[in-house]
Amino acid sequence: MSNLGLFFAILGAALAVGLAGIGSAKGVGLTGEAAAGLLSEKTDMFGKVLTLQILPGTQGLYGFIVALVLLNKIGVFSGNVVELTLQQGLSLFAACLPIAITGFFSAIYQGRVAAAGISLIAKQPTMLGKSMTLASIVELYAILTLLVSFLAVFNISVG
Amino acid sequence: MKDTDYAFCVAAIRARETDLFAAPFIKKLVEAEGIKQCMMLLKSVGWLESEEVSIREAVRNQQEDLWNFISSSVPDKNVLKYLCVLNDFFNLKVAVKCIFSKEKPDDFYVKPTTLDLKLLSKAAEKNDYNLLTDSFISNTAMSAYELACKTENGQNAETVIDSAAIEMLKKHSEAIGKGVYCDICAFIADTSNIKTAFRCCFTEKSKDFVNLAISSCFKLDRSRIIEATLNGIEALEAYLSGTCYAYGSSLYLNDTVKYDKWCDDRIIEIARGSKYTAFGFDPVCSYYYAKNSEIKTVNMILSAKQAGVPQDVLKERVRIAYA
Repeated sequence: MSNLGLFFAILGAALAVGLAGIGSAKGVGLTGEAAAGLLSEKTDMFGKVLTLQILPGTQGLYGFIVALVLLNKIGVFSGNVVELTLQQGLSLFAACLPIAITGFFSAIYQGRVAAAGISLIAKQPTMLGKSMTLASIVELYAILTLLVSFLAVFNISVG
Repeated sequence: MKDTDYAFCVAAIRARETDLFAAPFIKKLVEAEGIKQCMMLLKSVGWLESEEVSIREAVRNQQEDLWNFISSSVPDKNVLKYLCVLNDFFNLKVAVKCIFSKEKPDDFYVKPTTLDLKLLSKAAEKNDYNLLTDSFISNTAMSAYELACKTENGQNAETVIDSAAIEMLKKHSEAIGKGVYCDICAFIADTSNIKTAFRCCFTEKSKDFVNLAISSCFKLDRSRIIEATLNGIEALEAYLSGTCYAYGSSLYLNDTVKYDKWCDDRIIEIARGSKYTAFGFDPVCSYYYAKNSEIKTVNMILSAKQAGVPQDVLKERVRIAYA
């Protein structure tokens, strides 16, 4: 049973970093395509489009942070992996789900908003701030889930 | 394809849209003293490389640049055929007609086209339209040629090809499903059917010819427009006055030039529907029609300036700007 607990804890960490990372890759990729399209016509816009392209990448980082905290908590880094009950393992797994799921979807949607923002600054370069604000609003939900996942992983007692 | 696959293309289009002429600039061109001042204005905004270039060359350069841009930016080259339907069928008409008139078709072909023009000329010369890769186009060409030979009337061949072009628009529209392209296809098909119906009325064409000439409709009832056409101009007018084309068809009766301007302007109004669409084929289609309209307008203004057409006449004919 203790092995199964560890399995679920590591599965949680894998999903947190994996799903949020895939979402970010999709979002950044989409924004990158739009950015390349704009740069093919207006080469001097690189600085502006880069700022927008970075935004959907944060969800991947949030997932990574939660996974690191979890792996550290169960002693993977120190080499002394703690024994987990099935209940503890499942609790850690559940704690990772918010950032895994919301990170995945919010990064994709943020990518869409950021890509649309690139079309906006293509027409009106002074709109960078507003484009970033629109994309940042999607980020809010990723931040909320990061907090929930982080606090939950941090406070679940193991060992 | 997913709409997000167009992210690159749409962003590039949005950047290019800033260079489209707005109404004040077109007004400036119309009010310019002569062709030289027009050329100077166009050069100042980068539309012309040099003031020495001929109108034809300037227009051709712009068309080539537009097509190169679109064809290199779209993620799926298959969509290019959607934008070339009318040109493709026009070229088919040229190839078939030139066989009878013994002229060289190369001088009349229009671009952009998805047809291999050399192959098309060869197919027409050898009267072997199976050489053409698209079976719908080759069947149309064969039917047109056979009908022209049978009836010894080139107009019949033209009519078959024009009808087929509308059928092709309908096919493409159905393949895409919804959006700006479908709305434009519907408008082009219906307005060209209206034009054909009026012409048939004026020249008192036979029932067989009217059936052949009026092709698939979108927002019109094909059987009713055919019936009205056969019953005369008043019946046709009465039918069209109850459709969404009432205003346009009333223009046609007074002035066909005004009708053509109305058609072109409506297409731009439809194209504006995707001005704020972030992804998908719609912005591509809109930009293509918008830029083509701009090229057409500049061509019209330059030709009018060269021919000394009065400003008032020119003002009436200039198309609306997309930007």
